[in-house]
Amino acid sequence: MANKYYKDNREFIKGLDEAGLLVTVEQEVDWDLEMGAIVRRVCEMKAPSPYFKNIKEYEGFEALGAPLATYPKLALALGLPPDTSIPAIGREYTARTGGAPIQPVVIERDAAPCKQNVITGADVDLFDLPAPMVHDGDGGRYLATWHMVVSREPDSGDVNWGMYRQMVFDERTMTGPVLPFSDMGKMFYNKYVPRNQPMPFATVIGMDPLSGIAACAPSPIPEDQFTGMMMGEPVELVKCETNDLLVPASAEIIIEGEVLPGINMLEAPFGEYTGYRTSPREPRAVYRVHAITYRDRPIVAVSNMGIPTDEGQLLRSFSLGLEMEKLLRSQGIPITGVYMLPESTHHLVVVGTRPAYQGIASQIAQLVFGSKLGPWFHQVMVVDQTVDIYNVNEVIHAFSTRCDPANDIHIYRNSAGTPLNPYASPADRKVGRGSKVLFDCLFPLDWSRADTPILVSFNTVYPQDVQDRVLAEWRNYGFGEQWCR
Amino acid sequence: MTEYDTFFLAEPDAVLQDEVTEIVIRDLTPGRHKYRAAYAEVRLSSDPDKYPERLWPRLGRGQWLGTPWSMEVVREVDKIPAEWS
Repeated sequence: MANKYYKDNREFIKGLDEAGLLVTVEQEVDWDLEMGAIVRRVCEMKAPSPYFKNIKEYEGFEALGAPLATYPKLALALGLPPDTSIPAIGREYTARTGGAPIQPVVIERDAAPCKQNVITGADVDLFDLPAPMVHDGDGGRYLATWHMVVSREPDSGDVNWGMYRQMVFDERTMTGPVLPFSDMGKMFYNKYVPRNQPMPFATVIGMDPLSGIAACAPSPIPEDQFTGMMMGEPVELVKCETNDLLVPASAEIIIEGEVLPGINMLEAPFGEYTGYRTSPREPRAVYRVHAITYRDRPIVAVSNMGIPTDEGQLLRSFSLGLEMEKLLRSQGIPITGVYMLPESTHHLVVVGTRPAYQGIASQIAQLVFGSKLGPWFHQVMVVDQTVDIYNVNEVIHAFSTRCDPANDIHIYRNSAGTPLNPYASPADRKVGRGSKVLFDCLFPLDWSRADTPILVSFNTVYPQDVQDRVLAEWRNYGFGEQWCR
Repeated sequence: MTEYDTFFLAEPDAVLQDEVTEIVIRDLTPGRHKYRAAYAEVRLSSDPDKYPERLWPRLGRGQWLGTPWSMEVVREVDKIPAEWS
C-alpha cells in the first residue's frame, strides 16, 4: 500500500504552504546574489521556504528555496505532521526502507511532465535557466544545489542517484567535483575513464522530495528502488532524450549529457556544506550538455550551503546516522540509537549503547569508519543508554564529564578524507587524506559500583513516587503555563 | 571596454604580466550570460589602463582584491575535444 507522500515538487509546495512552512515571494528577486542571500538567511533562521514567483531576467521561471532544510519540512515530505519528533521521523524512515526494494516503473514520454519542453543540440544554452549566483565569491553560477545526478555502472547496469554540485561554465558545459570514493566517482574513474568512454548523465532539478532524500542517502539499495520503498509504490521514471538513463517523470528540469574522460576544467570555489569556502578553484570533472527538458513554468530548487542548517547537512546527517544504525544492529552491537548532529555538518555521530563489554566503543568506531559511510565523517562519540542522544545539552555534558583526554580519545591516522574539510592541511586536502577520532564517553566496566559516579538529575536521583508527586503538583506550586509544557 | 574577473591561483605578485598566458576569465556584462567563463590566452597588467579590457582579480577562494587590472584577450581556447563537443 502506498505511503502518504508528495508525488512531485508542486504538490510538495502546496503541502509546505498548507503547513505554514512556505513564504510566497511575489516581488522580483535577482538571481545574482539576492536569491541566494534570502535562502541563506532562511537556512540560518530555520524559516519557511521562500517560493520565488518572479526572477529577474527569467520570466516564466520560478524557484523554491531551502525546500527541506528543517526537520518539520522533512517530516512533511514523509507524510508526517511537521511537529513529529526526530526519533519518530527516523523510525518512519527506517520502517519504510527496511523491507523489499520496489522497482520503478517507466512511463510513456507523452505522459511525462518533464518533457513539456525539449531543447537539444546547438539550441542548448544553460544560461536560459535561472542558475543563481549563490554566494559572492563563488566560482560561477550553480544550477545544481538541490538536485540529483543520474548515472549508470556500464557493466552491472546499477543506477546511481547522487548529489554532485555542478557549476555552469559556459552555454553547454558544467564542471564539478566527482570525488573518487563517491558512488559516481567509483564508476567514472574505475570504468569509464580507463576505457576513454564518456559517461552519460542526467541532472534532475526540482524532483519530488522523496527522490531527493534517496539521492542523499548512503544506502546500498539503488536510489530509484529506495525511493519506491519510501513511497510504498514504484517511482515513475521516463527515458532521457539523448541517452538511455531514466529520470523522475514529474521533475521540473532535466539536463542530459556526458561526463568527459581525460579532461578537467576549473571549478569552484563554492560556499560548501562545512560552512566554509574550503576547496580552491581546481580542475574538476566536465559535464558536456546535449539536451535540456523541462515542465511548463519550471520551478528551480535552490539550496544554499553555509553554516547550519541547509538541506545537505540535515538530510545527509539524518540518513548517514540511520544507515549507521542499520549497520551496527546488523552486526548485533547492543546500541540504543544513532544520531548525527546536523550542526556538525555531518561530521559528528553520537552512538548510544549499553556497554555490555569492554572495548565496545572501539568496535563501534572501527565498524562505522570502515564502512562505505566512513569517508564522509570523522568523529564518533559513544555514550551510554542514560544519555538522550538527541539532546545536545546531555551529549555535551557526557562528553565533558566522561571522556578522559588521556585514555578515551582514540585517533586513527591516514584515513580517507575529503578535500572539503576546513581543518585539513592543503597537502591532505589535495590527496583526500584525513584522520578519524573516537570519543569514548563510557565509564570503564572494571570500575566497581562504589567507584562509579552517579548522574545527578531529576530523573535519576529521586524516587519515582517523589518525581510523580512533583510533576503532578507542578502547576500548583505556582509555575505558569510556559513552564508546564 | 568589457569587464571580466578571474581567480588568481597564486599570489598576485607571482602572476605573469605582459606575456601571453592562459587563464579562465568570466564575463561580468549584466544580463543572462553574466559569469560565462572561458579559457583564454591573454596579456595581463596590474596597470589598469595598459590593455583595453578591465580585469577584476580574485584569489583562489573568491577573495575580491578590489583593485582592477587590465587585459588583452588574444583568443578564447576551447578545451573540449572535437569528438565530444
